Amino acid sequence: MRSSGIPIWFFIGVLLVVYGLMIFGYGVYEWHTGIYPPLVQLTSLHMPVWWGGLLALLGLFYVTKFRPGRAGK
Amino acid sequence: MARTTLPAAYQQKVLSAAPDSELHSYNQALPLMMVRYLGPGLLGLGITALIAGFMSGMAGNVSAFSTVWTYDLYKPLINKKGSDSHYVMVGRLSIVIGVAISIGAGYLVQHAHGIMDYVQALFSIFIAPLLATILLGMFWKRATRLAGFLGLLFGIVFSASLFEWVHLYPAKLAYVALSPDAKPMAENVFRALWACLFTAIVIFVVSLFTKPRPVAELDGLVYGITKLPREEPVPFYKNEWTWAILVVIIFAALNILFW
Repeated sequence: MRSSGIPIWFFIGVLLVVYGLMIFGYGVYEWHTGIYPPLVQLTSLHMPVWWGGLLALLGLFYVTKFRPGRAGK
Repeated sequence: MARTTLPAAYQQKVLSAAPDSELHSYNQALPLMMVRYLGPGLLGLGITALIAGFMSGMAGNVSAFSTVWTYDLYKPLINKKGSDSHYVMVGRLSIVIGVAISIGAGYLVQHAHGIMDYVQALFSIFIAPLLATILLGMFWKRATRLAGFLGLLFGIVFSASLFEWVHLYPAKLAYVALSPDAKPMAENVFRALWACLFTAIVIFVVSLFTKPRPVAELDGLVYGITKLPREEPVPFYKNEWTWAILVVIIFAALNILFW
């Protein structure tokens, strides 16, 4: 049976990119303004920036590798 | 993404570290840690990951339960001549009943010190004997089918008996956990150890008195008899040893960093 349609990994990549950019964006905002959530610890590590960036990069990899037209090659 | 998926009132209680007995439950260790260290966005992602992990485990367990019930118990022992649609119906019904039972089991956790204690108690009763059974079955060609079955059965009974023995006579904890002051988790671990050893002994002894399978029939089942396929060379990033070494290096680095 010939597979058709867009592989699910593409959609996973899209989700990762969207979430990653949102978290990264918020991380950059809080780092730039210095306004951190109250009572949250270790804000100096700027976790949203690094994790958001990593998520977005991983999502970009999936989106690129499994984009429609290229998947199945 | 929402600031958090936790209800606002609960979140405020957690963040304010209110002296509420609910906040000191061990069951809330992971959510509390996430609220403490993760800001908006990451917290929602973390909670989502927790729920996704739960759903994945639940789906796998429910599927396995339905399959085992339908094909290993119902079909061979109760109704051998059913149609495919009948077995599908049985499988679906078993899922509904199994989930209902698991919900009821959730209320039993209220009587335990925490979810971890309850889970480890169950593991020590059912999984520890299973470990011995699987290990001996995999690595000892002399192990027999009857020995495996009896070892598992008696191991479970033995472990459950230890559990009930300490429950009825708390002083006996000194025999099971080697200390009268042992905490429930220590008791669970020791009980698992004794159950594993007991099962291994039963399997060993019963195997000596029962006829093993011919060695030729054990190919693919027992290590040492099975011919392992030769692995073709692959690029380094597809070799499992590359990633294993990388993981060990990261593990060592994190231990040094956070010692």
